[in-house]
Amino acid sequence: MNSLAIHYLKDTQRKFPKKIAVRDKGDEISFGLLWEKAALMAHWLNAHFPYHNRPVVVDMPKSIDAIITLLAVQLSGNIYVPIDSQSPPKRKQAIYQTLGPCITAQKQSEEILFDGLIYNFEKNETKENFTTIESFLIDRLAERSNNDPIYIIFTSGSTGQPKGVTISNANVMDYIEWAADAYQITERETIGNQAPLFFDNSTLDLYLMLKTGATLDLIPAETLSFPSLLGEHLEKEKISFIFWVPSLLSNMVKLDVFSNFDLGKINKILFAGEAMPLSVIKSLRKTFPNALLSNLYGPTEITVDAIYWIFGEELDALNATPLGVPCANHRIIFLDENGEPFTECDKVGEICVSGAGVGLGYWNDSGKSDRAFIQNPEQDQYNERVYKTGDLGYLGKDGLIYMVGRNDDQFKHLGHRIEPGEIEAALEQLEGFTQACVLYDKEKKEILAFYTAENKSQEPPARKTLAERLPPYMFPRRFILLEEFPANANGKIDRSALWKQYRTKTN
Amino acid sequence: MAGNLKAIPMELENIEKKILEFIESEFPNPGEELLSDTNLLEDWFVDSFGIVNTLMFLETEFAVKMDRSDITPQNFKSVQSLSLLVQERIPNS
Repeated sequence: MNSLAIHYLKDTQRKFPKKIAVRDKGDEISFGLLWEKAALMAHWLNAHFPYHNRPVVVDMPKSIDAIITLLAVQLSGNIYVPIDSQSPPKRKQAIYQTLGPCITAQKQSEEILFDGLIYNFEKNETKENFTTIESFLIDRLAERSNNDPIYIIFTSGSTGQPKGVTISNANVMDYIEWAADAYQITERETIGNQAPLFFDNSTLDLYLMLKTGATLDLIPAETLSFPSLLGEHLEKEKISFIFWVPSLLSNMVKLDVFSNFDLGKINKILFAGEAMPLSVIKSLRKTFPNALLSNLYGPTEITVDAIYWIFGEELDALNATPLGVPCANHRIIFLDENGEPFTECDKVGEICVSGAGVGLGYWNDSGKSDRAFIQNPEQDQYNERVYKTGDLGYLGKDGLIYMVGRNDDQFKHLGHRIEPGEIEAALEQLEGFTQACVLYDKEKKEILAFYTAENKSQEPPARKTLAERLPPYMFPRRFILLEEFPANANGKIDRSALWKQYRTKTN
Repeated sequence: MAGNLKAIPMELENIEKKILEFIESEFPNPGEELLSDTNLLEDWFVDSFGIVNTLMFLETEFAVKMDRSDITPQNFKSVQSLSLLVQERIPNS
């Protein structure tokens, strides 16, 4: 019986040793070789870093080598932490501070450095005792439990300190078993991967490949930014399955790119990460009448997704995009303002997730973990952690769950989850800036930064200044200098008054 | 030339000016000046909205229909290359 996610690869490489596992810009690697390279690297890791359950930061751009590395980390009995290699130094520092003792993996030309120690694929490959190495690794893994962490993914924190969401092997396996079955994934599938490794949507692409023997095609970043190149790529690489953020699909539909290419191979289109406009789904249905279309929902804390919907005949009659119904082994609990559970239809409450995907909490932060991962308020007879998402939604009379907004200021931009507090904290640290407030224009998809300054003619910060503190997807689109912020009775910034002021001025 | 009803093709300069204005107001880059040869992809746009919104603007503002194969990194390199593309697509009736 498989108890760890890495066992998927062990089995699949026996079934399909020669089949292509991952393709990346002309490079490719078979399942057999992927296993071999990951095992050799894990063996080397065990020799040089004799730890157990230690975070290994994978600070590398998405590539075959990055995938080998995160597999090797699992095989060595440790936890991988994929981070955005483009992330500014200050944000990386904050992540390291939260992690505590850890190892860093970085790519330098053809070699991978672990805490500065060179791992060279060519040199370190000694195939003579491969069988011995393999059985040694597997024996060592037998000491691990499926409740042990598999990865830590960092997500935006409201005070500017990113939070390390910790997910177990069992979490990922439950999710993948469900997805492989719900979407009928086999080795014949070619997955066109969009999500970066530090974004948990990539968990689906990666582990479906490992479990089923499907081929994973890593779409280059340059291709993703150009709709026509992306269309060409889908056609040429015969992509059959995509799990993308709605904004990317919306752009493709807006520019009518799909119809320009022969995309008959595409038979499954999944989307998650932010709200998907119903009009885009309807238009996808026209372009791909025979493809499966599915919306998914879930914060990183509950392992990618907890609610899903596969659109059928009912699509034409829908007036809003439903999140859908809970995935297998999950239940959704709605909480009112007092934290009391209720079951009425059409009543808005906080979406709370219970079930096999609920993660292990935030790494090294029991305070934040305890506030978000709470005892199931439905019962107090036994211990059961459920996750409070902060998302507001309701159960419709049609039996489907819908989302209406947030109970805080968090927003989604291009699929990225962003706390305005993180951007505000970065701006308030700049010289001359006194206070900042960040709002999101959902319609125009623009991040707006309002600020007050010591000097009445304070210019907004240059991008290179921002780049020291924030990743590019958090850069505000517009800066608005104010003399003072509208305040509410408590003296706090009145965000809704500020938004109204802005709308009146710009419309 | 009397009787010549041929429309005067829009001046490249005018096209450039309009595109510059649009990009500067829609995608402000504090402290930086947008020139017609500034590399839009490397030095200006931060995400794919730059490309998508600019394309939609070109189609509306200049009443041209861009071919989907026009959306290439070469054409989106600078305001200059975009202007040439627009000029090429404006029908000369």
